Amino acid sequence: MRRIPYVIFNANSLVRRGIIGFILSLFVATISVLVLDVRTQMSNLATASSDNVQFAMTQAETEVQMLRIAALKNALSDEADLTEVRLRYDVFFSRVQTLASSAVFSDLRSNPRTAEQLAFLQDFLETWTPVIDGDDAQLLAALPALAEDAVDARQAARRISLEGIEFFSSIRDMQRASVARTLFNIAVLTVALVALLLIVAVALMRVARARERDLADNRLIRKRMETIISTSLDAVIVTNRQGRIEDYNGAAERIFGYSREEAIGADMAELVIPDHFRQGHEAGMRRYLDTGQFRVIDQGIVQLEAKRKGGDVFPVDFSLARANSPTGEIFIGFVRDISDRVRVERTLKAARDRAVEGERKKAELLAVMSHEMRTPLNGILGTLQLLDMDSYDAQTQRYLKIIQSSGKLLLGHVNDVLDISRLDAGKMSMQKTRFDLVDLLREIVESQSIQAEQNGNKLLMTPPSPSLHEVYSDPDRLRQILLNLISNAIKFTQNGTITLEAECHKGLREVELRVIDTGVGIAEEDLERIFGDFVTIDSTYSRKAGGTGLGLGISQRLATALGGELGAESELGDGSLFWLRLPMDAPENAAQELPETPEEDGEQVVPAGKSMNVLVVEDNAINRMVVRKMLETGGHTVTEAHDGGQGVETAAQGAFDVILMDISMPVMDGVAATKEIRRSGTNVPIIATTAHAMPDELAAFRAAGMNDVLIKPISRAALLNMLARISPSGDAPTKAAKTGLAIFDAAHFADIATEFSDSQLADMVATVTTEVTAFLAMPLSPDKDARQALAAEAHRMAGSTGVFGAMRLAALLREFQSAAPTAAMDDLVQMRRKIAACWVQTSRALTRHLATSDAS
Amino acid sequence: MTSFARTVLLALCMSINFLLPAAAAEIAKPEGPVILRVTGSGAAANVGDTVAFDLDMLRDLESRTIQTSTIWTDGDQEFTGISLSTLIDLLTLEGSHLRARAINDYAVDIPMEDALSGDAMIAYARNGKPMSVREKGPLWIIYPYDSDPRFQAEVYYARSIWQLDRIEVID
Repeated sequence: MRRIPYVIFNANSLVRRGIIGFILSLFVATISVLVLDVRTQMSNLATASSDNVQFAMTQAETEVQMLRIAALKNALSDEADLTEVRLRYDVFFSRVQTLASSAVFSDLRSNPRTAEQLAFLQDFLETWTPVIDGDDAQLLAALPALAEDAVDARQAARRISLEGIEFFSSIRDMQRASVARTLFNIAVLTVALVALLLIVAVALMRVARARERDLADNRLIRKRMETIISTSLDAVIVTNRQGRIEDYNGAAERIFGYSREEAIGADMAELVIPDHFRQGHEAGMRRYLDTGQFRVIDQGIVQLEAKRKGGDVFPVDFSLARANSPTGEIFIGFVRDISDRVRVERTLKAARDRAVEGERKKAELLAVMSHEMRTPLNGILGTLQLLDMDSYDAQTQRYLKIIQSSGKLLLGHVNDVLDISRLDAGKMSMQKTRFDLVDLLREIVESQSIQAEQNGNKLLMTPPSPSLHEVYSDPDRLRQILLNLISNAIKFTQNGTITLEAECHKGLREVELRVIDTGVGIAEEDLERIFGDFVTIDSTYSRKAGGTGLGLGISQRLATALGGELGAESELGDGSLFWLRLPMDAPENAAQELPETPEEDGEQVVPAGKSMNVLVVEDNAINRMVVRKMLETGGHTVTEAHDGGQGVETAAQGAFDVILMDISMPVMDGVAATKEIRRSGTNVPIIATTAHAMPDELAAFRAAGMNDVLIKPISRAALLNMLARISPSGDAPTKAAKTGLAIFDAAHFADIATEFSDSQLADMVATVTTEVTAFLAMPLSPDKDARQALAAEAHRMAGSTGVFGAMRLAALLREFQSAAPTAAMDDLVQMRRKIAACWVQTSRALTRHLATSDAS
Repeated sequence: MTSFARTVLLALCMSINFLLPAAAAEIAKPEGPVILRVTGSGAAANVGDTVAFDLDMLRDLESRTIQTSTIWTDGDQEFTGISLSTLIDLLTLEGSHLRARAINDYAVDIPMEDALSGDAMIAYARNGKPMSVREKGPLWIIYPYDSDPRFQAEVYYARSIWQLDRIEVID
């Protein structure tokens, strides 16, 4: 900017200047007064006619002497010349008159002695004037007397002149002294003035030099600034308060397309501000000019848009500063054309979005695939369990077992992959709550003891610290990790010991859980690797041990998600130690959510009715299988259909006494199928089997032609009672099935237990466990489709768990299913937490009942 | 009259003098008591080698009057007389200065320029009346003290000779 900096004096220097000026003028005034004084005195000295006066005084003596001589001379002379006497007398007379009246002698006359002498002379004149003016004869006669008197007069005149000399010389001395004093004062003042002037001169010189230096500095800075601005890659536009451009650099020319000549003096807003920003800009300027408030100034870099000469609008980084200049306030705008950057950013963003989208799709595909694969797998495994192994030859049995173990392995893999994809997508939410860790550990040890024994291992737990009875974490995830670690330990240990230890390190802030085995151990170089995905240390061994190699990867991810870490120490051949360190202290506001104590109650066993031909339309294989078993043990004949369409077809082909119709089914749901069947004119009773139990839904079922509803999970008693009620024999049940909300319906479970072999039961429980775990891990999101998926899954879980008599869990799941599509996130989280808590109890009860049925 | 004109006039007079000595200023002889004698005037002498003036002769010359106070008198005075320059012109006096003398032989030298400047005057009357010897008369050289402070100085007071009765031209 071409601006000359102003040297601005502050108030202090103004005061200083004023004082100096005042002192100087005081000096000058004083000296002037003194000079005038001297001048006056000098002129006094000049005008004081002291020489003349003295002459006049001494002359008086001479004149009187002359008079005496004239008198004496003529007194003796025969031819007396009285004219001369008279002339001398007159001259003396005039002299005395001068002394008596002249102003110059007034001071002298004030001296009494002089006055006395002067009076004497005047007396002399008074005496003699009549004689002088008288006739000649008389005067001639008086001449000797005149001469005599003139002696005295001369004495008097002499005294006057002597005193006059003394007087005037003293006056002159005084005058001289006064002049000298004044001159001295002038000299002193002049010296002081000169000194002061010197000081001022030095000060001014310094100021001047400083100013010169400042100017030079300023010039340098200005030059540097100009260079910086002119070479700046950013456009620099300087405007005044009116928005007129005052400066405009080369970069601005390049960016905006206007030349410097065009830009200077032009309205900045018109030139570079796009039309759609103009109004805002003007309002902002007005606001600033009115109130002094600004939004953009000194706010750092702001992204805006600007306009080129051609009219095209482009993105810019913009920053604005204000400053004061000699011509008033100015605004300095720095503008950087970021079109390229924005373009690149956009491209990058698009690329990233595509990549992320691809990744997400892939993960989704993985999740969907895994999920979808589980259903047929469950079918395979479930069907296998229905086979009566003993009726096959050894060869077939071996094949079937291979199919079964392969299926299970595959299910495990699928679940692992699902977990990994969820964890990586961050979709697995941790549901932290207060719970009893000791209880959890005990439960895990209990549940794994059987597996451990199969490998000849002892599974032990060292007594944990009592403070671990109440901890804060996600019990389900913790269980998952520990189960993984323990099952690994069991797999890799033969006839050894597996120890589970729990220890508080820093209160609950760091709880360390250790799984120690005496197994094969891990080579040092493999220790890091084992936490990677799909890592199995030894292919031969892994085949023997099974597993995808995802387990530890999942566990480590879970540990991290829980805020802790997972690690291992091992030596090949000398066992392994896996440690899990987690913070388990509750935050201040954590809700008190200890699980309730499980309640168990029994249920009335239901009487059997007449044998009926039943069509079961159900898409869920397990449900189908379970219902079939229940019906068959009740002496009924079962035909299955896997969806609505198949159901309609099957119903048309055979004569059925009753149709059990699932409501939610793919392709054609139960309501549509019922309508179809009714349209064909069949009036066979159709019983809806559903987890939905909303009153309006029940009405819809009846409207579609359904006779009654069985609420899932279906208990054997409820099912058989229902059949008894609609059976032609009309045996009404003595007591309606009670679908209480017990955690675990032991009677219901007992129903099923009678239908299946123990191993089948255990597998079914394992499947349900996996599924529920997966369900609990499903991400909660506000997305509509995701909500629908959740609702569908909750529906399915309600069915699956209800089968085992998990009444409360099933009820909670149904509640969740109804709420899922519309409920608030918080409510869903809360509900699922309840489900999770309930599942802990349910699972424990299931395990216990499995064990008891095992023992029986 | 400018000094140039005066010089021209002077030169004219001198040339006339030289060409026509007989035509030199005819100064009448004094009839009353002689009150002023001028020596060194050359051709203009009327009594011996001096030019003698009585009061009437002086009164016949171009007169002037000034108002001034003096250090020797009390209050404002009115002096009447002739300019010293008038006398010089009349008698075509030449020299470096004029020596003025009083009755009591007091003498003072007046430089010719001062005398020609027209400031100095030979007063023959004070306040309209002739001055007696007792009143510092009959002639008194007066400067206009009040009209110019430069005259209020010792040198002018000294030149202000009273009871003047002789003027001598000094070369």
